[in-house]
Amino acid sequence: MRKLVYSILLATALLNLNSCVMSSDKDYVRDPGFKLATIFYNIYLEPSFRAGEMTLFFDKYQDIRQDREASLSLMKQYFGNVYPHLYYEEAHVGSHGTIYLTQTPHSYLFKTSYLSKSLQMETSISKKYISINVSDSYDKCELSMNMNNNQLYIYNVKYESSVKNDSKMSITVLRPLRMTICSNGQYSLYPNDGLLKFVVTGSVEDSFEVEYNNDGFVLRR
Amino acid sequence: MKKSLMIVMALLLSLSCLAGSKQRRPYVLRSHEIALSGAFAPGQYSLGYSYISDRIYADSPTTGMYSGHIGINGIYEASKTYVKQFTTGTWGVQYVYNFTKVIGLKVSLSYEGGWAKTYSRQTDNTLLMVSNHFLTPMIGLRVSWLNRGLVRMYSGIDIGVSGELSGSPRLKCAGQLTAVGLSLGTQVFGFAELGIGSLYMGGCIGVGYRF
Repeated sequence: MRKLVYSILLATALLNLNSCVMSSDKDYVRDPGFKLATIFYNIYLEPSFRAGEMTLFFDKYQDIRQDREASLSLMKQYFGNVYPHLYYEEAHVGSHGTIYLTQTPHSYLFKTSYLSKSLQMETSISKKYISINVSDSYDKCELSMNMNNNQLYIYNVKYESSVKNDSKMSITVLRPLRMTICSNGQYSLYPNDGLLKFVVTGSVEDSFEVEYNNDGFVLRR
Repeated sequence: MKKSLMIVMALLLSLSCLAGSKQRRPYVLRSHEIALSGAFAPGQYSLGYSYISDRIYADSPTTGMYSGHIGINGIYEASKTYVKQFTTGTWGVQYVYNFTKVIGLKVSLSYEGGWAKTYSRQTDNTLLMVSNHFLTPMIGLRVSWLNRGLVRMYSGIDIGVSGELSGSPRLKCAGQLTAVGLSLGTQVFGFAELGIGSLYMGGCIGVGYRF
């Protein structure tokens, strides 16, 4: 009899414990604008700063690449004590990604190392200006950057969704995104300053401003 | 989860009381054991598998980056919905052959299933449901380090493959470490285990029969 009671007890416990809800985001109300801005920053803006830093370094490296010591010293100046994955054709830094030499002088190909699907960017540098085009299978995005002292500025952004019949999103730079260029391995995750205006048109209509600071960004409607 | 732990603790306590109330009886080796079990915190889910993510991404018609690959419109649509993920937990059937009172060979077959439902925030109606199922055959070694008439305590390790049955079937390696197992009973027995692995991350209980 006792065996039977314990068996029933166990079976009941099993039934109670199964078929349960593991997760629910019912109480988590998301602002779609915030999600747009977050994804846009993570996929396009932040990698562009990393691409810009790698481009700056790699372009300078091309002039001194015959001198290994000077090259490593330059690498350390930007990225600190990293494993010297530095060749004529490519350079890799774990926190940033890999940059490759192309046939065109001062133009490079940069791939991030930390997105689940590697993001490919074509970068080119001319004096104080860097332009970045996101290629590969991602949405199209073009960014223009310039530099002043030890700061990088994104002053123009164009974005086009690759999803058919999707709404359009235009991004206006109201105040350039400013980020301190990495030095001795110290790099910023967010711009020190900057203000973007996002306007979504099409079947969805929305507009908002996003202000960036050292800790992230704030969305205003 | 609290409820699960409380039930396990209650079971262990009640079974321990039962063991304590008995006079020590000599252990009698029975070579064959069959058992059914259910686990809390199913392994695939606990190890990071989401019942929803892979299915939706795999079915995506585009490769745009606006994640979930649903585009800008999709993000705004998604904000009008919420998602709940459900699981069946992990259910298993196992057979153990005891070579000696210490060493046993175990074979098992376990099932873990789950589904994700997307609801409208406005009406709470279900808009979409996707599901996934895993079947995991395993073979393992069990070492029983305490053998009394009524009580056995053991540890074990199992390895096998986990087959994902939905969509395009996929196989991956599976393993389960049982840190401590406690069984109570002679012929009909109940058991509770603590362990980690592809089947469960935490606890598992079940009933079985020895012959």
